[in-house]
Amino acid sequence: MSDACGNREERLVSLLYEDGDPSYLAEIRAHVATCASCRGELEQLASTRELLGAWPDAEGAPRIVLVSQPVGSVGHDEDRPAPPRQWGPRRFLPVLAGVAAVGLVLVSSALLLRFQVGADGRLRVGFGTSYAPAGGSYGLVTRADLDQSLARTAEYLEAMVRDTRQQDRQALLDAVDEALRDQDLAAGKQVANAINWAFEEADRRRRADLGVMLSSMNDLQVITRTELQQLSAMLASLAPAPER
Amino acid sequence: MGVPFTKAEIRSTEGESAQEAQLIAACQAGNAKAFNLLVRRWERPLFNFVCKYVGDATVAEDLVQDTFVRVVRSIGQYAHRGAFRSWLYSIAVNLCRDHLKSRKRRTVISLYDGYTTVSGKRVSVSDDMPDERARTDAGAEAADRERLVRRLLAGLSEDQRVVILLREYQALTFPEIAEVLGVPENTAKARLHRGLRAMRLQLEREGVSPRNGSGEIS
Repeated sequence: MSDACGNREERLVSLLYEDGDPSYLAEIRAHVATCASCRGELEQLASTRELLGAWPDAEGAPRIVLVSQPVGSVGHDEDRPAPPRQWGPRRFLPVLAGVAAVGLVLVSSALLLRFQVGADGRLRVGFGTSYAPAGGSYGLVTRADLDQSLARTAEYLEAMVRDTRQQDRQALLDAVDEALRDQDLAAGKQVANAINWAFEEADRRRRADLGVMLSSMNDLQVITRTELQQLSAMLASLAPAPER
Repeated sequence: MGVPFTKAEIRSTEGESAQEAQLIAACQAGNAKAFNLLVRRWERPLFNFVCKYVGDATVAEDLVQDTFVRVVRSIGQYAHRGAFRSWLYSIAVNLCRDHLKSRKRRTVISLYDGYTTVSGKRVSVSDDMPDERARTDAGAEAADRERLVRRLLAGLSEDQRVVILLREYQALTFPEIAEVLGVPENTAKARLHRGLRAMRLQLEREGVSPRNGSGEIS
């Protein structure tokens, strides 16, 4: 290796990838032709590079689902409605009971949850991150997660409806706390769906319906961990916990 | 979509096609269909990159999804100072780095982590992992070579690995790689050189030829 081999790393890589203007590359080529050390190094780089081709791309594409939602159903943080003072604690007792049932079943889940007050005043919960560009809003979930989530949610809701016992609010908060300590994203999505539907079902006071549930794809919203903590705090700030 | 760029704006989008510039403009205007198209355009290459970077397809799906979420959130601020894909990959790289850091904190070891380190220490190897392609001799050889490459890349420093992934598998130019990583072009080239050299040295230690991925070095 001689003084002419200065900046060898950059120069040999430039030549290996033909990156640079022709005169620059010609200059490097001329040097390599007369320098055994650089020539040997270049050959080794080329053969190692060739080996990289043995790792093909994964087959198939990621299964990402883009869910469009009506304008205003999801908003930026700054667009979110003010805290729902109109939600009296009494109104939420059955809702909380439903959520507690679901939450208890899924205590090992992890959450990145968003709660959202819809225009109809109902609380909606989703998974992931919320975003809403001007003029519209979207939610992204993977298809596999969605399918799994919907199937399991059906089971949980059936169980919830069968179980008429009123679970208390603390049970929900405990479940949420535990979920926050775990960070299993797929389970988080399941919980998000389950809670979302628990709210709806409790609010409508009717049995879960799988057909309706499938339509919840359009209700899927995405949530952050911080917002779940906000949800937890909000629930805690309601009326005193119902008696056991 | 219908949110065309002016000619001057299109000219300013170095490295981007006018079509993509219009697509981005439509996304900036909140056009859901345009964003969907943008996702479809980039999800596969991005997934392949992230998958190789973090070594887990399921995690990669989530990271790609998060990448697009960030894109939507900040596309309004995207100012076409460079190629769109540089911006896109820089978001993905940051998310991958965050993920890998958190994985280290949680001391989760995936099969991808199985490799022989540069110092020769055997960490955890996934060579016993069954592979569909191993049902034929040619398939078995291809699978062996793939495992070898994965193992060699896993043994590199993250800085070296990401440059190789971006250049070799995503065909980003060196200026684009420099932009993605926020380093000078020559630094990116030097990292790539050192990465390839480290792989070569590891092959020599193992007595493997890079030509066929097995046997003695000629």
